[in-house]
Amino acid sequence: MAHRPSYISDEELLAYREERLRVEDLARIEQALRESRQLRERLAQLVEEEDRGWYSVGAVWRAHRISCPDRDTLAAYCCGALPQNEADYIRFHIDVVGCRLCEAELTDAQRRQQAEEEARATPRRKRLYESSLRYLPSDR
Amino acid sequence: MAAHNNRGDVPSRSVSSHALLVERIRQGDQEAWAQFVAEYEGRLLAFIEPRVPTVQDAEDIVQETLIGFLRSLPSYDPRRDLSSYLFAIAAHKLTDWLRRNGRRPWDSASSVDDHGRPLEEFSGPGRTASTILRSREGHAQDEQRLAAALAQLVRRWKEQGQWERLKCIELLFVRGWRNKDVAAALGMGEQQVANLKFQTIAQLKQLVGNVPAVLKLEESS
Ligand SMILES: [Zn+2]
Repeated sequence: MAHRPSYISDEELLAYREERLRVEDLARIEQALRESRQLRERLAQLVEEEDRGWYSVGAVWRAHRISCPDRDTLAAYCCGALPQNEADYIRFHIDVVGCRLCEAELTDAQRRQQAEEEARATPRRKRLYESSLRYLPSDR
Repeated sequence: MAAHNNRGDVPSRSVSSHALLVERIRQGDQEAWAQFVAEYEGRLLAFIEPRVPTVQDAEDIVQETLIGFLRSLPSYDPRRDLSSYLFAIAAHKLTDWLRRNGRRPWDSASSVDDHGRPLEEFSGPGRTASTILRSREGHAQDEQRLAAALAQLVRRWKEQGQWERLKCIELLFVRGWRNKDVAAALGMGEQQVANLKFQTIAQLKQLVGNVPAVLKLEESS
């Protein structure tokens, strides 16, 4: 997914404020805001409109997590059990759209899976070690 | 309590079981709270960690988030998706932290005070109904209807395997990219992108009528 626009859209400014973009994009926008007064004014105006009750379709989409996979789907994705098209979409949702909430949930799911595997592996390793120990060549 | 069993007990975005858990927490049930913490601390930490320098900072912000959630319980609407709500609190606490640590010097102290004001502080859609500005019923209802309509469309596309359409609309609506950038990113024709946008806006208008947010999208086409 090579193509990225050169501009920063209003939706991206709002998503920045909601912490709802990939970390690299947040950093890029943060930098741009430091450098451009015009951009800061645009953000301030968007915030003001929101305070007056305005909301965009994108903001509603993000707030209600309209396209985020549910947890069962994410778990299936995590262990490679989804059809290719759907798995592609989830990758896209996280990497290109930049859903940091799904990214966090995925990281959490992966960590839990690792912890479970670790918990299963520890007694197994101990058992295998102990049951094979007497065949170890004796020290000198 | 199943600290490491992340399956089955509280299905994500299942409103009823979450509502039950929240109800037990409201009544001061410590086991329910322990279950809640075990369920959510990991993803909150994963959300915050990449934005702050140390794990300790991240843990502090998770703690503030959980406390913020407990303090906001009286105004929490159990029909609201719990994870979205919790992430919204986390984003707010994180933003506060970044501001205090000089990462957002341009961002005026507008909506912030550091005294743990609970959740009325949110801006943006999907907050608690108690938000002063948003208490105008019409707005909240429009927003709910729009969210329901979007969810209906997206569910249908997913069921029908229309993944390219979903990707296209998501870049247009959620990222606010222009047609030609969406086309370039997805390897589609610009006209195809324009058609999908047009169709989707028409479907939304059919479902929710002339909601300002949808009209604004139409304007930008
Ligand atoms: Zn998501």
